[in-house]
Amino acid sequence: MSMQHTTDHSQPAGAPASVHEVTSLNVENLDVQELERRLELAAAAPDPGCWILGKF
Amino acid sequence: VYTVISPGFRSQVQPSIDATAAVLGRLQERWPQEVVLGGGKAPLKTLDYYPYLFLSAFPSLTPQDIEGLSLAGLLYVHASLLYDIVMDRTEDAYLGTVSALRLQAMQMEASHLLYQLFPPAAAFWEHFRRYLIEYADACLQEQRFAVGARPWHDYTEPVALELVVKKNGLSRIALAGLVELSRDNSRFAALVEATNLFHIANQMWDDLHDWKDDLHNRLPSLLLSRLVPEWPVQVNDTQCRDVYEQLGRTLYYGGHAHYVLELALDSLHRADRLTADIPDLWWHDVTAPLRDKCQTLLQDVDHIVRRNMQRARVQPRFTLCLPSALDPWQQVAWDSLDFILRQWQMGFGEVRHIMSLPARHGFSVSQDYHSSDIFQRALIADALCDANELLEGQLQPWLDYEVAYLVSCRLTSGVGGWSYYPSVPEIAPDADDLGQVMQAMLRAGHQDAVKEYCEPPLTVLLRDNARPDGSLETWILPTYGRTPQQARQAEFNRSRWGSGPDNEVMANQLYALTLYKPLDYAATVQRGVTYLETQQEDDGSWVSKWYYGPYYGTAVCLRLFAVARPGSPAIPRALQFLRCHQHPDGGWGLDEASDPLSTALALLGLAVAQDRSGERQDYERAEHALTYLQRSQDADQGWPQVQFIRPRMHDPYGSRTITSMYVLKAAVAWHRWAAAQAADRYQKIAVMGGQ
Repeated sequence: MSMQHTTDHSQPAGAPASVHEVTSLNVENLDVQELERRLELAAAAPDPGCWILGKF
Repeated sequence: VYTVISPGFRSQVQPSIDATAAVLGRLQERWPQEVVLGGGKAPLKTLDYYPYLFLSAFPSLTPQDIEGLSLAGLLYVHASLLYDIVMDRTEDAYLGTVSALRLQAMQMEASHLLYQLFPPAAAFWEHFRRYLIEYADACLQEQRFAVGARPWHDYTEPVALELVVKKNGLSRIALAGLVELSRDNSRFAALVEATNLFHIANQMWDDLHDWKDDLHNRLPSLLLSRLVPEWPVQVNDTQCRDVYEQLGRTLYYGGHAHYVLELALDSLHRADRLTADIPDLWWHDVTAPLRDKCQTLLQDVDHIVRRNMQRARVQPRFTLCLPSALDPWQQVAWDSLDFILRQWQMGFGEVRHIMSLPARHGFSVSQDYHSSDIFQRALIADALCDANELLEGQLQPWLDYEVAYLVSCRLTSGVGGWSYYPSVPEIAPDADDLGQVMQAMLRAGHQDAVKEYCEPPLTVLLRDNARPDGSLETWILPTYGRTPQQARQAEFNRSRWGSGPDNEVMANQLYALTLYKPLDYAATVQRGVTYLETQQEDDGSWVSKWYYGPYYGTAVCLRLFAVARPGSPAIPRALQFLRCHQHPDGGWGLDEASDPLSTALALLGLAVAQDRSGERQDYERAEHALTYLQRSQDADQGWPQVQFIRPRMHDPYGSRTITSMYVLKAAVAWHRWAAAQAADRYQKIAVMGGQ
């Protein structure tokens, strides 16, 4: 399990400057963004405690 | 949004609620305007008429009998909610002062009402005192944990749940009032226990939803006690994103979200069992939606976690070596490519479009929420093809992986093709998905896949969904011999999202035909282009049905026209539209404010027609836009989410990866243009030198 990401800005134009290496079973590759979006959708559903019956 | 409780509740209780409102209005007249009694103009909530929810458990009482109790409860609840403001936001002196005054006023008025209902010796007052003592104890305990005065390891599950119950004891007061008024305490113990369990369930939901806020505001919760070993957690602004990402991973993949949702569901189940023998209890209308919400969320969280774990185990290794950028355009392209690669490594979860399409809305589905990334990943693959040409094929393994993914997502029944949400049988395959997948496959060198998987639906589209005016329908459905599912899809097209041609979908599909077999499909493409010429707006743009703003439709139409009818007068009109709408900051936007997605799309539109219809000033416009794109870039190299797809009213979809993908495409296009201009100048100088 490894991930490398290096950037070398001292390289001349055209030379390799950025390297990604990704392998499987990398914990960093487990996404949370979709789960958070799903949670937000659940929260955006009509509030069961928010009915509009009359006006105070 | 009107979520209507049982019709019986409305008809029986509304007169009492109106009567209570009138009394509250008279009380309000005595107090200064700022000292608002109750919730003011906010919509009514459950707690505003809480005692009515339990009326059927006390058959001797009528709604009129409990109007006073209900109003006192309303005042007391809002007073107790203000405690949170006073305790949590002491830095705001005015807010603190007003809150304290409102709190005092409401408690006084509530007490005045309650003294009229219950004599001093009534058991009700002992319940009230006990509640207040427990509430005080819970608040103080919580504060001690919050500031670290009590060890974090003492914040165990039993302690956390005890605090929840003690802080929500007002329920018991409402029930005690009902008992006193009805002289019937047979249901009291069960109802107290049931409402305690409901409060626990509700708190578990809140803990999950608000975990970042709780962490930020140093509010302890059961979920946080499982998540962080030390308290309070010190997080500065620069660490925030990383800390939240790591904790979020632990929260979901460590099973903690699952745990609190299970706890919520178990609590609700026990609450239901305790009240199952009380007929027509309106309170169940409050517990049921919370149960549904937790249930569907738990299913989806488990599913997403399982899918991601599985993918992370099998996703292949990919190595990318980016050369140093030759110009600022290429630097922007490499930044977005870096960001997109990182999203790919995480399975493109950020890209997924999740929508609620539940069975109760007529869909033949077993789950409420549906998630898809087919169209988005075909778009991204197309942008990767742009970058791949600059990287001498280095992205090919990545592209092959993406094409295999798209193949795996195809429909295997009916006419085949791709549906935006394959898990919803009522959604037919469509020409937008087909056209985008074709482009991705063709540009990635997978012509065989196009022949095998795209030709069957394409044949149906061109045979049965083409109109005499040259337009093509968006939905791909055979005219004859429809299966029951296809008949149902046609009905949903008619009644839900509409049938007929859509400019941007047509332009995308026809462009795919120009890439696939330009000679074979020349007549179809020309008829379609003629139709699209008639659809151009007076200002030179094209309206999109499925996308926000004019820039997506205009960019894809320009792309088609540039290859299919480069001499069309529609092109200079469209370019003029783009030129006229650039903002002073260099960007384009859906309104007065610029955004990076509209800017990238406008840049793409300008770029595709440069060969024949460009102006010298277009490059200056593009360079101005480049500075806007550089300024709007986020710290992690990506670009912000902007509204993109419009599946239905007020339900926008946007994605940081999609914005970054269009920035990549625009940057590659203008990098090429700049490089070609430089090469041209170099050649002219060389020729002149040779002379």
